[in-house]
Amino acid sequence: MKKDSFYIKHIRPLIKHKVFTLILLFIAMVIMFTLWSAIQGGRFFKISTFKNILNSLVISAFLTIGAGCLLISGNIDLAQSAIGAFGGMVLATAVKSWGLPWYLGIVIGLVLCAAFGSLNALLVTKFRFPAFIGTLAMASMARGLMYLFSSIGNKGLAANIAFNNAPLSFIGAGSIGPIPLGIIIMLVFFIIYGIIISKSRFGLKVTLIGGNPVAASLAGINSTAITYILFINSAVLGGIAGVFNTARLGQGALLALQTNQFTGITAAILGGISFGGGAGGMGGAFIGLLILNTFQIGMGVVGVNPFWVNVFSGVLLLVALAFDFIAQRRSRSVLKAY
Amino acid sequence: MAKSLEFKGISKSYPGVRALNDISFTAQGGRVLALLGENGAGKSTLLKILSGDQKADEGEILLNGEPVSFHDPQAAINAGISVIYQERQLMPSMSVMENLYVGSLPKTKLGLYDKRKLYNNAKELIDRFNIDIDPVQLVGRLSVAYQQMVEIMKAVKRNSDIIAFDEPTAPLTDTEIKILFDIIKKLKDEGKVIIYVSHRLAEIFQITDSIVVLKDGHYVTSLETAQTNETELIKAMVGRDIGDTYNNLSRNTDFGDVVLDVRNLKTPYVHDISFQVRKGEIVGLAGLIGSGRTEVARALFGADPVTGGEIYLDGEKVSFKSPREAIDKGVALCPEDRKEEGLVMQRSIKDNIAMPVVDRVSKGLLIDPDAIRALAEKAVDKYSIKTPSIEKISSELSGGNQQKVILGRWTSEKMETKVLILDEPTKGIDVGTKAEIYQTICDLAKQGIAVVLISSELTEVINLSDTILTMHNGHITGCLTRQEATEEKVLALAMLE
Amino acid sequence: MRKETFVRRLLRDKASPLLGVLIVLTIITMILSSGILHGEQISALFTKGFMSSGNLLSVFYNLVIQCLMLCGISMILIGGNIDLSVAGQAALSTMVFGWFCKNTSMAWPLALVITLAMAVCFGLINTFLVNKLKFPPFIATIGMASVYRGLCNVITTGNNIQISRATFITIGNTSIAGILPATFVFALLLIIIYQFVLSKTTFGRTIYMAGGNPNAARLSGIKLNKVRLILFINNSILAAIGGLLWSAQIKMASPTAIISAAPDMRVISAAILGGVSFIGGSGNIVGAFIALLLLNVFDNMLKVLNVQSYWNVFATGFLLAVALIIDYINVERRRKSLLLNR
Repeated sequence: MKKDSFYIKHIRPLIKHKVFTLILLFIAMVIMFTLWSAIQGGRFFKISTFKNILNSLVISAFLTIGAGCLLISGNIDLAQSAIGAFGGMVLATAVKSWGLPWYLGIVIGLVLCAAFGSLNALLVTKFRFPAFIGTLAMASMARGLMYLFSSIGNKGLAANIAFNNAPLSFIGAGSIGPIPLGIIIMLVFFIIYGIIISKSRFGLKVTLIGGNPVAASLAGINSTAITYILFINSAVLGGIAGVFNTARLGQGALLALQTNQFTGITAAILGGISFGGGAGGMGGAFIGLLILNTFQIGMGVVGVNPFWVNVFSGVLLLVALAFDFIAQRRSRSVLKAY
Repeated sequence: MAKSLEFKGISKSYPGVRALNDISFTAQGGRVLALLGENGAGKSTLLKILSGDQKADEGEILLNGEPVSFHDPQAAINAGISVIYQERQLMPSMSVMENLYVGSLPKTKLGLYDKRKLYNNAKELIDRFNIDIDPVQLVGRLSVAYQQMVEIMKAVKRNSDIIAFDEPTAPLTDTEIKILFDIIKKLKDEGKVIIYVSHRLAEIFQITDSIVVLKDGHYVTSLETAQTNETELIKAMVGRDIGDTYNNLSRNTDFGDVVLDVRNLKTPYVHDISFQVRKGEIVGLAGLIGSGRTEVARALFGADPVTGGEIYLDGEKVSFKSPREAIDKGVALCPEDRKEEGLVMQRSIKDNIAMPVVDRVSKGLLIDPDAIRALAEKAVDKYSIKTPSIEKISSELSGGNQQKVILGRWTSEKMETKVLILDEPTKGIDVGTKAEIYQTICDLAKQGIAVVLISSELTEVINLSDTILTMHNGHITGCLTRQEATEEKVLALAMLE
Repeated sequence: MRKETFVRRLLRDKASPLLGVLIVLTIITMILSSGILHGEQISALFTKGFMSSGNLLSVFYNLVIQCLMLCGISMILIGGNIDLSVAGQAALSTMVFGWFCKNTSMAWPLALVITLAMAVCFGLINTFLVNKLKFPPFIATIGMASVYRGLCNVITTGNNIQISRATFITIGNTSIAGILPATFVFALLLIIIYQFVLSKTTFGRTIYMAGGNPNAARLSGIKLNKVRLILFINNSILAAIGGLLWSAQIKMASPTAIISAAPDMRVISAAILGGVSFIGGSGNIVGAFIALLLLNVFDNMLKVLNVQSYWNVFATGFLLAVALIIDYINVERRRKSLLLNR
């Protein structure tokens, strides 16, 4: 077999890669907003704008990573934000009512989220629940338990639980030098997960399962174990998002993560993670999230009613899915019930 | 008016294979015509063309002397043709009577659903057949046999003149078969044209009046059932010109000790399976579709549960609860459907080859890119897989190259395969690549691998294997060496009850 | 072959045990909430606690939008589809209606017509996504759900709109004997009508066939696309009417109230609990209705006993999971018995 030239080996795959198109899209969008705001007399292209964008990414980022990993394997978790809100509430209750130190509160919250995640996996593997209905049911249960924790922390009545906690405030809103802590942690997570998905043996197995679950198990890949890991991962990352939200707000909120519910999935699909599994990576998911949030903030800078942005996000999701379907044109595991 | 169905010069090709070649014969009303042939003879394709599911490339179908053509299955149904397949076209959660009258439910004068009239119509239809089915019963609660009867009644209710059955007796008990045959006799007496596709020679002699034999997509002969016998039929079904394909093979003649020893293997699908494979030997499993060969393969590989019997690998008793356990002990399976069960089509050749050994081409938690690349490149070289790069996506490869990728996966450096099970390795592959794969299989045997070869192509199985086992209905019916075996003997054993 | 008698059918119906549970639950609630265990007279059973007119009234009012959505969603599920955007559609419909009432002097029936026309468009959009663009229904409707929710916010920036059209409010607030709202009677009527359509008209049976085995249905001449169109439009109109009746009762258009109450989740859970399989082709509205009553009585029981109502949120999901597990066990049992018959 002849050796590939440098161009073919390195440059061409890069160009063909979906991420490249997305980066172009991002750049085009930045240019558009810069010009648009300039016409209005404002200024889009400045450090504080980009800082805003990155900051807004933090919480959604964790949801996106969790959703992305699951999507690659051909599954979906609609309970993620509910589980995350639950985790955040556990932290608030632990700190305020039980007087536990902040790190213990976080650990307990995340462990409970992991329990939810394994329940999700159980329903999907042992009881063959279609992932979307099973996780929808779990979402209700998680939300119910969140109210439970809230009422525990609030003497029997479910409400937002506010507290004062210096370390948590730092986590939620503090910075190291000029860069907010949240952004640093988020970037680290993206990089680590990116490496896991694209370069680790676990990641290769996840992608293979998503591509063809039957062939993967006939080739000796342990789909059940991996499914458990991925659902627990999604739940724990949801919990981390919830914890961040709680830390940043200084309270465990009943409506936490409601707006981010589908941001994770939308960003992942925008970023090229195929619905149904088998393709895509964290890099694309990051850019997808970046595009979504830049769009939101850019619209704000330019003065468009922010609520229109929500509408466009929904439309964007549908458009991204349409392209995905046209590219794939097959029915897969998640979709099989229809 | 005498009913007749005539096929005139029907030909049909799929990419790479000519399924039907100038098929011509006539089926008369009031008679049952059997369509006989081995796997791949063209029977299913012919039925698909008859039912309007596929269109013939050449030739025509004449109904009572008039040429007809169908652009979709509905058109064929409207023309009076009903094909009763093995897959049910019923709605399990609805009643028998609703299933019978799908699409034409009776209405009252007010436009409402006339349950009473439906019940009466259905009862009338059922009584014509003397079967004990309650029209209100939910179809999903009926046994398979009765479900099939509902399908037949649907056909009759449509007043179909031509009814074709595709392997109808496979899931039936003897009593149910008798009821089915009574129905067929009744339909025959009503003057309908009945086509009966089956492998079961005993039944063909019981119920049919004439037999048409197909072989490799060609029409061979027509015989009157009353004037022929099993031997003549089998002879008509086999016997073809092999050419040099097999004579030029360089085979392994040095067999070692017994590697795989299967004793009284029992699963929900097969029973009493016993055989042995020696090092370097090729054991072929011959049989017709549904005989249980794939089920044996899957049980050996740990993909299906084993309920009885024992398996010994190199003298050591093994029991595989999953394919991973089998792979770790050196057992490998190339599955029957390489696209659905074998390859991950959107992934590269490299990923597909490394699938079972992902952990072995890793350094720590990460994949060793050099190791995985070397693994894939060696496999590509070894099997002469035609590709410009190991990164090429599998869906872009030809069928033959796809099969080579799977072979490469199971015989790569990191696999220590002792037993290689091949399930239909040359299905849908062109002649040239087939020859390459045959030689490859022989080479693998020379390397000391014990090969179990499953193939529905009699010629292939007989000429490649050193020992041939025949299976029928879930158990082994015969064992022959390559020297002893002839196509007729093997087919006879494969059709033996 | 065993005769399929009416009694046998009834016993096998999933809804029968549900009815039993419902009756038991209601009685327990009545007893516990009336205080007769603490010395009150027996007559308190029917006047205090659960059965007090104030409580019954609010229960019935809550049921109105749920019942309308139940009719729509059940038909959609039986036909083999799903619509997760009903809450959003209802919210948006009330929003538009409220906007017209507040910012124009249009007669409210005209505004009603315009709103319903818009609801038809929602149904058309959903159908377009599934029929023409071949989206799986669950994805199409999840996507549209966020679009509708977003549009609500665009129009009102999250605030509620007061409605002051007299007749409209009267319709939404009249009740018989202070217990039975007129709108609930309307909802009950619809339930009866829709059940009738499902079981006694040929179109109803066609829906079952389209959902049960789409392939076989298509081969028998049933136009799946047309069935889907009718079901989605029907669903959207019912959702819109439900939302409007709700806003008539609370005298304002409050999309946030509808969305946060998430009646669609409860309705879908009720449908599945009541025997409507999400795969399609089975179940009926009566069973779903009984399950819906069950969920609502349970919720009310918690409220009347002063237990936190979040248990209800938990229970909805839990019961749904239980229903699905039972479904799984049944399917497994049937599969194993088929295998042994070989």
